[in-house]
Amino acid sequence: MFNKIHGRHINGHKHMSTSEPIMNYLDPDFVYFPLNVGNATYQKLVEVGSKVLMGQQILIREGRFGHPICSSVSGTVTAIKKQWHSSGKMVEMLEIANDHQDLACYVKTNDEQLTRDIIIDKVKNAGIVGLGGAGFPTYVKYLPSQPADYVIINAAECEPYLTCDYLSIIEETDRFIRGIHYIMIANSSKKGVIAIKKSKLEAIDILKKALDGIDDISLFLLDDVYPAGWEKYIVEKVTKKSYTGLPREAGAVVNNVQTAIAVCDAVEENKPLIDRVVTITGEGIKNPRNYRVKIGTKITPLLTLSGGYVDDLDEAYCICGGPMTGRSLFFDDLVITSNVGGIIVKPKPKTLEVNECIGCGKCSENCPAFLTPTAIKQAYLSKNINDLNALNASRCVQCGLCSYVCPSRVEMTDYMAKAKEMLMKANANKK
Amino acid sequence: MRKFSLEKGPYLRSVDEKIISTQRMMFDVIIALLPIVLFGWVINGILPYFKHLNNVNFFNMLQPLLNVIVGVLSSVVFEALYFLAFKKAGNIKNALIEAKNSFAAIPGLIIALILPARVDMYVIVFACFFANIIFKMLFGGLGHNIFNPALIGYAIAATVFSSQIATALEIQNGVFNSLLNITTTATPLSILSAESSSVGSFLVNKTVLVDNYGGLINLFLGLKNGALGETSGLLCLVGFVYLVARKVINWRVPVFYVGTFFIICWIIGIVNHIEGPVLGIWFPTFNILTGGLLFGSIFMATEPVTTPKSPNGKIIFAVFCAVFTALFRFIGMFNEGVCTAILFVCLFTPIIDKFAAKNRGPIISSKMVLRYLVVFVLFVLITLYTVYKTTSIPKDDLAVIEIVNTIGGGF
Repeated sequence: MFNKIHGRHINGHKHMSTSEPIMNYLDPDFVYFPLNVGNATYQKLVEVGSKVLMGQQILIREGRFGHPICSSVSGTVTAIKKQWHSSGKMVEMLEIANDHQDLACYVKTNDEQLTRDIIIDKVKNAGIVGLGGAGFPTYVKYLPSQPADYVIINAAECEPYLTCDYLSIIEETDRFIRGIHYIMIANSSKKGVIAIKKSKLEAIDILKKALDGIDDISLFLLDDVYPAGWEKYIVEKVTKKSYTGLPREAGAVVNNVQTAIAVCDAVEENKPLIDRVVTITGEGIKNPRNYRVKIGTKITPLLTLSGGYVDDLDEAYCICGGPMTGRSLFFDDLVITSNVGGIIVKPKPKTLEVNECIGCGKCSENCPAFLTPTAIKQAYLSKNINDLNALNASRCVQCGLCSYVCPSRVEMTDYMAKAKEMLMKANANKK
Repeated sequence: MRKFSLEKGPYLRSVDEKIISTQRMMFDVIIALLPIVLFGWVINGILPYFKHLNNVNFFNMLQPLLNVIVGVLSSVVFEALYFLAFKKAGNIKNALIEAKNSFAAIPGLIIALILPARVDMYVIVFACFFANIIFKMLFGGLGHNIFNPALIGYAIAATVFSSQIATALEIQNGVFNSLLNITTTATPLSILSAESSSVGSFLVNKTVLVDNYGGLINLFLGLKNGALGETSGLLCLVGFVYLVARKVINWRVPVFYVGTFFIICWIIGIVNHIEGPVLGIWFPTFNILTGGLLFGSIFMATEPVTTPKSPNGKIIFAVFCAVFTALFRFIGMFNEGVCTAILFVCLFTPIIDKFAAKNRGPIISSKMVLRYLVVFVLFVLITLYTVYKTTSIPKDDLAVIEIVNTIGGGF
């Protein structure tokens, strides 16, 4: 009762973008690749003016989480320009002009025996990162040599509005399941689990049919709550084990749906990570739907393809990612990087009035990390680092539930993020 | 390229989706209280009047309703005046809007409900003044008060106007008894106190306490005398179900409050050799159905501002409310104990809150278990003290009985 994450049901708004199948938009004129994101910088492997092929490694991140980034089109590197990145900042990006030839540098090879090392190597060279949103290099998860008990595929997609994973499962079931098998080989794992929300009936039906006769992959049905897609929530539900750091502690490897599909492509065709599915949706879009796009494409043509904005759109948000954890953008001129799962255009609510906190305690009742946001807010405002430590402010995952449930519309999540930042800074200074 | 609004996330709020809002929560509390107001009016005003009982004139018929209206009005007016005088509300309209936004009406409504139906109206106005001006606005307004305004207003009024309240209760009891053909004139609980004090041991008699009122079922339905709004356990439970279903209050506080109180009373009954089936289970049941315990645990102990915020804190709060209610009820001066217990435990809310916030989490360390153990031992000690005291209630001081009989308006 005290240490079980309950979650809370949130209206999904998912029906908007599921009626149409995924549409291909694979031939953009220009693609962009960021040269530095946050504290990660990328080494250029090409210069302005050089010709690149589709799938050629153009940037490489070094260090512990190193991975290459591959060009998603063939063409010429034309410039280094500042463009809007999903982090909400202008970032220097490599611009590649598409020659519309799609000359690929990768070829299909026939491997007689797929061993663990071969798969990890292929995944690393393909530059596959988690496509759920965090963008963690996938091969790093596979490196620990002890076998994982479970390979868990996170198909919960608990963020409202987004449907890219859901449609990917429906349309690419076979590749998805083959991908899971490859991940299982890479982790010497015997059990594969697809964790999906109970409410996604169509996808569950299709998966049940596809899994007929496959014994080592099973379905795990999650409640229709937020944050059911939180890695920790899924791992604890599936393995019944609790952990503090990485899921590996509980003997699990967790991957996103699209990551599994990308792994399948990388293993079978040596195809690097060059495309992904994004959802363009929201009440502000005329015809919401999902698109398969080259990584590095701008969202502007996709918005046009979706019929543009509804006519009476007044002040609105343009949200990159899901509405709970995403970020609002100033312009609709974003470059789709591998961590962008969707763009949501949503009218701004008429009133943003914040009332007095009446202390109802809904925030702490709903907190999946078992924190008490009101206490943390107080400690943050009084700059009490000791209290922040004792209140475990660093455990916050910024899922956004505290702000969501607040009846007074207090910006709890924002306070929590600031408190976490303050605590981390203070702890870093101490060291 | 189009410009968009930059805001803090998340971009989906239950407030915007009209799932919940502070206004709606407070409105729901009023809705949950409405049946109780109506029931109080019928049983204390309409029925006696139309049965042509003596001493009941037309004004007395309307008085229960008028009391509620006076309570609500005086609360709103006091707060509006405060906004006008000290918060620069400008004109009267703005002040009234401010008062509405800080939910001024609720303390007044609850005060009217926990005072006897026949109490003089100036007592209500006095209580509302203390509730809304002194203990709410002067502490910083909505969200900053440290006591439940209604309870503290009631407590002060009950102390200052104790004789007026007692007289009102007596008149009301007289009316009530002729309505229900009951021969005793006191509330069930003051009988309990008087009985146990005069006999010297904790000897209580089911015939006097329960059967005179037509059994436990009548106590549950609310056919008993007491404060205007607290008599019907059934309607309190209906309100509880409604408020929980609408996610206004947390189920934990009422459930743990009533549950713990039930168990403590049961233990007290067993220790004192109270007779009856299932180890005298009527005794704890009787204690839950009287003295406004259900009303207090559902509408008072769940007041958000002055009670702990985290779920575990709420449980600690409820459990301590229960044990102090038992302590105050059986050996204290106020024979109902609910009001004083909640006010008393509210004082510890910041401590409970801090303790609870620091001791939550998916990982339960041994240190945490130890801390909870300390709290539990404290709880057990107070319980044991209460149980011990009930076995040795003093018999010599008759004046005590006098006080017990006169103070406390049934809450």
